[in-house]
Amino acid sequence: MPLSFLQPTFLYGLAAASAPIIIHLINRRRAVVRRFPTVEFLRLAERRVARRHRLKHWLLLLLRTAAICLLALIMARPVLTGSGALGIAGDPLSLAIVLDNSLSMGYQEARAPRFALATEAAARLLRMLRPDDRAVVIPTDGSGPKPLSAVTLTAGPAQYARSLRQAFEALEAPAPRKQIVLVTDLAWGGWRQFTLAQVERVDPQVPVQLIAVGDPALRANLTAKAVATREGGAYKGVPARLEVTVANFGAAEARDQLVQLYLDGRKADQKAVTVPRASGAGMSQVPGEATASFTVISEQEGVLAGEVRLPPDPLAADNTAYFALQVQGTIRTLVVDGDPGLSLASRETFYLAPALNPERTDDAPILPDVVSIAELPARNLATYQAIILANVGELGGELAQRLRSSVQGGRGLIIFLGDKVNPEGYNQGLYAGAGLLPARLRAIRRVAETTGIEPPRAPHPVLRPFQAAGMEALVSARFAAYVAVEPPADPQVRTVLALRTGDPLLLERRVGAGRVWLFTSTADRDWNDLSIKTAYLPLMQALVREAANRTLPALGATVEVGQPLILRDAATAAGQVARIRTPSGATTLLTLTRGTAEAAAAFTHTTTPGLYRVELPGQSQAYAVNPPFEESQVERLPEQELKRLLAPLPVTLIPYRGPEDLARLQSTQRELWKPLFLLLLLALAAELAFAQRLTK
Amino acid sequence: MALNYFDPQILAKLESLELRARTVVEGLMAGIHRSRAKGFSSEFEQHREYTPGDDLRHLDWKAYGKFDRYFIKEFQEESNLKCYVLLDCSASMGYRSDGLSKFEYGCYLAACLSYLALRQGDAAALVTFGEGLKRFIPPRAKQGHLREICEELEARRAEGRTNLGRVLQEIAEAVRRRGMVVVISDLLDDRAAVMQGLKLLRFKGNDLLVFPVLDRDELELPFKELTLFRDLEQDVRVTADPRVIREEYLRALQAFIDAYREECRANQIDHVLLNSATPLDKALIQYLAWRA
Repeated sequence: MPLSFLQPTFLYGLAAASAPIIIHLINRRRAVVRRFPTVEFLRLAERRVARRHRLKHWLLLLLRTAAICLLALIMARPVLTGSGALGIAGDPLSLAIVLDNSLSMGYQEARAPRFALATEAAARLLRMLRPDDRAVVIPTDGSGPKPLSAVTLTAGPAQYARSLRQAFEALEAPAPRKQIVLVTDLAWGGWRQFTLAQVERVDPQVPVQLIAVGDPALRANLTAKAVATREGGAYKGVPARLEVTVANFGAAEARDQLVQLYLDGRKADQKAVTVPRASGAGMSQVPGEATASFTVISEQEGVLAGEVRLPPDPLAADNTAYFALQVQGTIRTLVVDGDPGLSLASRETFYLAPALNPERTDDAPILPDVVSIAELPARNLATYQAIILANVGELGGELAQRLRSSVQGGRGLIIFLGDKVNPEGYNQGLYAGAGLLPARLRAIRRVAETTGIEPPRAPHPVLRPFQAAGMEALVSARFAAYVAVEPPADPQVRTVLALRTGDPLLLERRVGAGRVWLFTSTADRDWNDLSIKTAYLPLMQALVREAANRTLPALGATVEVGQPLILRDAATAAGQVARIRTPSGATTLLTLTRGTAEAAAAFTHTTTPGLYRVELPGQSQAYAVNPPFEESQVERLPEQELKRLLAPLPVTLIPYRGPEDLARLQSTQRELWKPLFLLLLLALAAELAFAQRLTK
Repeated sequence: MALNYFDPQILAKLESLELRARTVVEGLMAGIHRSRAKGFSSEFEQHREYTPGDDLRHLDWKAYGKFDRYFIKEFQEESNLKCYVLLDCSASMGYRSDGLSKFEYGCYLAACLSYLALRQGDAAALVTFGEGLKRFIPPRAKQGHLREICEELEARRAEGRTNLGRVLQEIAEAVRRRGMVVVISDLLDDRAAVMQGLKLLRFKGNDLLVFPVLDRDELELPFKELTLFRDLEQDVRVTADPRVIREEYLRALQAFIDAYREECRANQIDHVLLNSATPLDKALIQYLAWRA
């Protein structure tokens, strides 16, 4: 236990301890000389009592000296820095202060935010250091050592493992004493994923002191956990339903909490929700959740900057959630009906057209324009985002080239076969000639007992609607006939769906900037019953969206603060420069690099919650960066759990809430004047008793 | 208030030692009955007028017939006792706390005893000694002998060492007839040698009276400051805090005195410890009681 003195000047008073000895020596020299007759008896007596008396005398001298020493020591105010203290005494100290600047440190305590308390404690620690000590301040945001004044509160998570590793690295240099002090609120969130193995460089000899700021009592804290949409995408003029999940980490129910929705900075709507209290505690705590639903209609294409704001609470930083609502334009689809039939029901597109626009309105996401083969040449293909050929018999060479150039320009072509189709003509015109067909057609194959769809093994964007449910409906469709195809010669041709016979049902081929899909059966009920299955509508819409490259989800990607934004594009986009605009308005340029199958880039400076807009040639995207959800669990980690997580490091926890604990922080250097004063009284009492006995 | 002439302090104010002795002894004798031994003598010395209380057997009827007045016949009393007073004149006897030194006190006592002996018709002798005999005044019974004794006492100083044992042996050899030996000394000498000398005197039929004379300081050790004690006769030094060693010192001193007392009692030697501040009558009464 190192000892130090608050008033070391008084230690000079220890010199006064020699006074009794000097007085003793002077007194010896001043002995009265007396001639006396019975000296022999004196000598005899002196011999008998001398040893005993000398012992008492020296004891008396010792007591007097001790009394003066104790008095000097008391005035010098000795302090003991012990195990419960920060131990800043003794040999030169190498100190690493890991300062928690994660989101939860913004929690407003009675006196000040937790981060202010933590900074105050850290500053106090630094002031306690002596000239021979050295210290480094490491914030938990992972940015590495920096001056205390440069550490600011972030909206990100606490990266304890990374910052502790940096602390151990900073203490690698030889030093008489090393110590790590972690100033934190010990909020549960930051420790959920922590293991000591992540620290990698652990020195078990280095003691770790934890200064826990904030009130350990659990209080209410609401946060917007998630924003989601029911539908796959948001389209211009089409209502989109947003669902906002509000989580409550408090121990009490949060009644009638106002959830406000802002779009492009303007308040769009608000709802009141009652959020039940959290259940459980610590690692097993489950926050109470409630959902607020909003309906959003945008008349413009593009990205809508959305915010969900919750009522103010002690932790303001997690009261706002950001999202990017990506509104896409309607998909104009040219549908060429190759078998108009004699009646409406016998038309090849009888099921297809309603599947694309079920409500037959002009503001639907997909607007099919059904034409006959005769009308096709007159159409301007450039005005459509997708083209569907449904059982179209013959295509002239000129038309095939128009289609090819249209597809190469980025549009999608979907080909349904049927009894009107001449496989050889298709092979000559669209396969060998235009190079559009994914595979060479053979002949119509009729199946006596019908066949079904083989459950798909590989995921595909077209099949995304069936990921959660509906796949059974898809595979339950029965196929009586289809056109068999040769195995694709182009390795880039992908079989999206296959029949149980082993023949492909849906093939995909990339042609230039666009893509071609070949459905080897009919679009109506002539060869199969897919069109009367519930899977028909989502499959057709997904095909059209995929063909039109209008597959963006309603909400842009969301990442948490501190996580990188991964920008992806086609491999051909390698070398293109992405322009990233942060919520603060700053712009960063990032070049996409070529990967194995795509071009990509990572933007890592997601330090501020908000919307990050990314501009690439020909496209615009938006990413929402939100506070880490775990940081909203502000309940303090129990000491036992903490020690378990940090074992075998020697850990000491020091609660710190405010000025009273600041004084306690100082008094970790325990003053010793009280026991010394008691000792002084005892020494004086003993001296008095001895002196009286000796002079009796 | 009448003066106490037994008080050594008051006696010290009297100039002549002889006068002091007379004062003490006469004062003492006036307070006690006359000894039966007095007046038993055949040698006429003088007449004196009768005073009430005189023994009528000594009335001189012839003188009454001649002068019609009562006269008492006084005779020179015969003595068959020789009293030897041995006075220690060593340096240790010269110690004084206040008032008289042990030596001075011894001188008074010796003078008083001599006078008392002479007054009772005994022959008084004085021996002054230190390491050896300093002077030996032989025993005589004449009144004028007192002056010689007093002159010797007044001339003597306390100095030098003591060898009481040897002196006692010398005296034992010198004393041919049995007598009374009074030793006035602090007895700070080799106890075995002293007792051997005393025993020798006793063996020769002498009656012995030992007056150990000690000063109040020696008996009480009242000092309070750290003191370097130097012996008066030998080169012995002790530095000690009297307060610390007092208890042990007094115990040792008492053991010393008690040892003398016990041995004296065993050898039928009277032992009377005297404080140099105590009145002389104590010693004289002791002497008279012993003499009787």
